[in-house]
Amino acid sequence: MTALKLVRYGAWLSVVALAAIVAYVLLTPEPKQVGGGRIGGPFKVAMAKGGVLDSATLSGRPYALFFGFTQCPDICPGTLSDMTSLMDTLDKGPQGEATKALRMYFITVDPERDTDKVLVDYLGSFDGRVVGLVPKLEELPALAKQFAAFYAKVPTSSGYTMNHTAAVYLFDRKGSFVGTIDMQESRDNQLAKLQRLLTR
Amino acid sequence: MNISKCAAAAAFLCWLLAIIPSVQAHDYRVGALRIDHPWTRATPAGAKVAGGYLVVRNEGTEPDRLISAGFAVSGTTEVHEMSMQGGTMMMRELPKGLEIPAGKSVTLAPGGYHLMFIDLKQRLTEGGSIKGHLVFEKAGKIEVEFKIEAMGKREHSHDHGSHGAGGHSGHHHGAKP
Repeated sequence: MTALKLVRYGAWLSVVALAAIVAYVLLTPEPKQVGGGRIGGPFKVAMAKGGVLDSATLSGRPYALFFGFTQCPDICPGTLSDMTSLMDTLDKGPQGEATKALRMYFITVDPERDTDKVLVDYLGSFDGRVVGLVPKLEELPALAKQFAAFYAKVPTSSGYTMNHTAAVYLFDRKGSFVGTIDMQESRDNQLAKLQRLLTR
Repeated sequence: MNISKCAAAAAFLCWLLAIIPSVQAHDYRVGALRIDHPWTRATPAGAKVAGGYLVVRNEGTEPDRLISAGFAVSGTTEVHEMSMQGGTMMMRELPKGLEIPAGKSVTLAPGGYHLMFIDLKQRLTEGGSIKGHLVFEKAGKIEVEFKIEAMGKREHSHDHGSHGAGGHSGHHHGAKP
């Protein structure tokens, strides 16, 4: 009898849990609005190689944007090598001419350790269209918010590492956010997204 | 023994000598543990960190634990876990190390568990290797060599000849056992 009761309560509990999950999924606002004005510029950030990047000057230029840091063992060098290889493929394809205008902005979420020099050296190992941006520590929260990006310091025994949004944001030549690329998807998908970006 | 037999034997010996180092270089045993193909990736200029990857298989009846590692090339080496949570890359140190359950394989690979080489003293270049040691709670210390593969590599290449029959059963490729 008690066992049966327990099963019945268990079943009701799972119904409630399921309803809660469905409600959560339905009611949580979609953070990334495709084509909308919610993600992205205007922004002004110092470039590692000198000068300031003003998003207003990017009109007419499609670009990708990534939040990362150089003391990152996997996702950052992986994303940068993927993008380097993808741009190389695009260069050799029918959109080669359009690809010349493409830029990838790498915004460090660790400006305390990623100085201009560190970032310039590091990015020198990748495609020349990858540009390092070094916001001031106090500028980072507002900048990340503009892109609905997340970053946080994680202490380790030897110092700290960073958690951060792993997606590459894509913006068309009008400066509109058109979507993201992530490392998990296939190379064909990534390439198709960049090809679409270049035709917009 | 005639000349052709001699030549065949010599050829066989050469072949053996040629394959043995490649097998030994990527397959280690310590106690009940088997360590398969430790590898890392080439680093960008000035990079201070790199990830170390391998497969540890516990053929014993007791769990063991990877507790530390030391490499001449890095100031410190820690055991970390990376995971993706809602599009965010999350990183954490495993201060107590990584458990290797009895009879199971645990894979350290991009996107999951890895050794974190911190404060690299030199750039890692593709085709080279780095030497160091791993320390397990029960099996003890073992000297290992990590092969340096391409920067964008996601999984290790399968060209090292140590994948014998049954060599890969029970592997959890790609991340999280």
